[in-house]
Amino acid sequence: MPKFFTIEHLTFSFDEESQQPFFENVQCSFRKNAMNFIRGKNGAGKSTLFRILRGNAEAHEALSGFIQFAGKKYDLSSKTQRQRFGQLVRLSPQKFDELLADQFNFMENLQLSRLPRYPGLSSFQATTQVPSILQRFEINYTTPVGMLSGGQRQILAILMALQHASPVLLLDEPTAALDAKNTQMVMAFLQELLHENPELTILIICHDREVVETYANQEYAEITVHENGVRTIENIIVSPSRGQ
Amino acid sequence: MDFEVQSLAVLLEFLPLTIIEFVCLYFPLVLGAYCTISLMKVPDLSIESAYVCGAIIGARALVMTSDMPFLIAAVISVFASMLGGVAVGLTSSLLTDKAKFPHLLSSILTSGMFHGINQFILGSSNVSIAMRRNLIGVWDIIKKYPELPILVAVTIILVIAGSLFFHTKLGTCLAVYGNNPRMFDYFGISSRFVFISGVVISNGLAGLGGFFDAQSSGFVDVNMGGLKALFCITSIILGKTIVSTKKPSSIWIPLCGSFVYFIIIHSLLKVNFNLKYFTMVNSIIVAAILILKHHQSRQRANQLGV
Repeated sequence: MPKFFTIEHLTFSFDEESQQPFFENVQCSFRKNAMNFIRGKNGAGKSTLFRILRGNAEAHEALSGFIQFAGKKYDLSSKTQRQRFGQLVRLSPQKFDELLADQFNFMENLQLSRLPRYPGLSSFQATTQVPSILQRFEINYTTPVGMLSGGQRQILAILMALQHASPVLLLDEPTAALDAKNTQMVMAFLQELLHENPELTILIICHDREVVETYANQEYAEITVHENGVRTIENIIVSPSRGQ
Repeated sequence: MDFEVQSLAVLLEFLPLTIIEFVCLYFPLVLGAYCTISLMKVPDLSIESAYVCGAIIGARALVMTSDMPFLIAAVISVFASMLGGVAVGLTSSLLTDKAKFPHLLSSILTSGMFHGINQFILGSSNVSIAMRRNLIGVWDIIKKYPELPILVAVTIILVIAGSLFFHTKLGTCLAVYGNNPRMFDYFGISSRFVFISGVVISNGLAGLGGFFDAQSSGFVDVNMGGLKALFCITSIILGKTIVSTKKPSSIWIPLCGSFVYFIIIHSLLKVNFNLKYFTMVNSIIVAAILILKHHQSRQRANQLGV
């Protein structure tokens, strides 16, 4: 599979004045239409990396480097270009419940994610057509989502994050709060999602080595924290996936 | 058939038209409170100020339009009363949004501000409007209850409009706001717009309720909004207890809640209960229901909307 998403020479520090960068000369690449795992210990900077990819660097932070995506090059030192790339990216956060309205059912939640910036007095009608991708997951679409399992709620959060058809989906610890059965369900859903959307690229932050080695396709990215506090990222080759 | 007639007679004896009149009189206020306190889960005490401001502005408009034809005077006075409520809602919601105050503090500060503004507009603490035109008593087809027909008509309009509103995108967002306000930002929906719209609509309705109260009682008082928030909370809690719905919002909750509230008052009057102690009964009812609900389902009190 072609590597059409690469991060080149990424250097970042939380303070412009700081002599010690947080990320230094990071180079890594991700595959199109695949689950790309990023592993690292707590505090390694996984969430900071996602924040940078979403174009949310603060004014006092120092950032340089490039992102190559789908044949285009984005200069990370330019706020406009960072934000332009950020528009291609959607995040499903670790606390995925923050995306859901518990009292509303599955289809109503899907419709909520499509509402305009200023919701008006036109009628709110929940989608009635169940996305074909969901048919094998036996989800009850009429009960409030607060009563669904963690895996089903995570699937809904991912679908809601993807309502704007973004080509890059970031998942922050999507299985951290799930048991083995629900983890399997979410991973099966993601594989199905990739199958249905050939243009989609998924980046998954995950600290669980077993999950990464089971579901990563050939390789994953590992964030390493060096003794001086600087982080670098390297691609780790894994044996052919057992979970595919 | 005889049984049905007897049942109806018992019902009418138990539910005199006075109860219906009171339910209709206060329905705009309870509906407004339902939007913020229950759906949005916002502690909106500014409805008390909106209630007074609506009464005062509506009464002023009534005086100023006394030479105009009835319909024009009615439309201007009703809009003026709602605008009075909207002004209060806009003040408290902007304080919350722009100054980043907790809404409880914003509504307390707004109440303080509008207490002065209301006194200034009114000129004194209370003013009689008994000699002025009674807009809600003009269709007196029921002699003993001259205000009832208009109040029932307005309530029917509000029930229909309210039901339709709760099914709109904005109406749905009010319930979402109470459920999970953080989700708006994820999907690019303006939570500020939803919050301000909800508080403004709620306070506008409270203003209309204040005007109806002023018309019915024949006077306007700067303190007429006192304890109205407790009345609204009691009605909503009662409504949530008796109306079983899976939907996040229902127009029947404020309607049935205030109905039960006035049935309780009526029943207490029947046993010669002194109504000056009724505020205490209000608080006991709310506390008892919340404690009971908590023990039944370990639901947190704010899940009931307050």
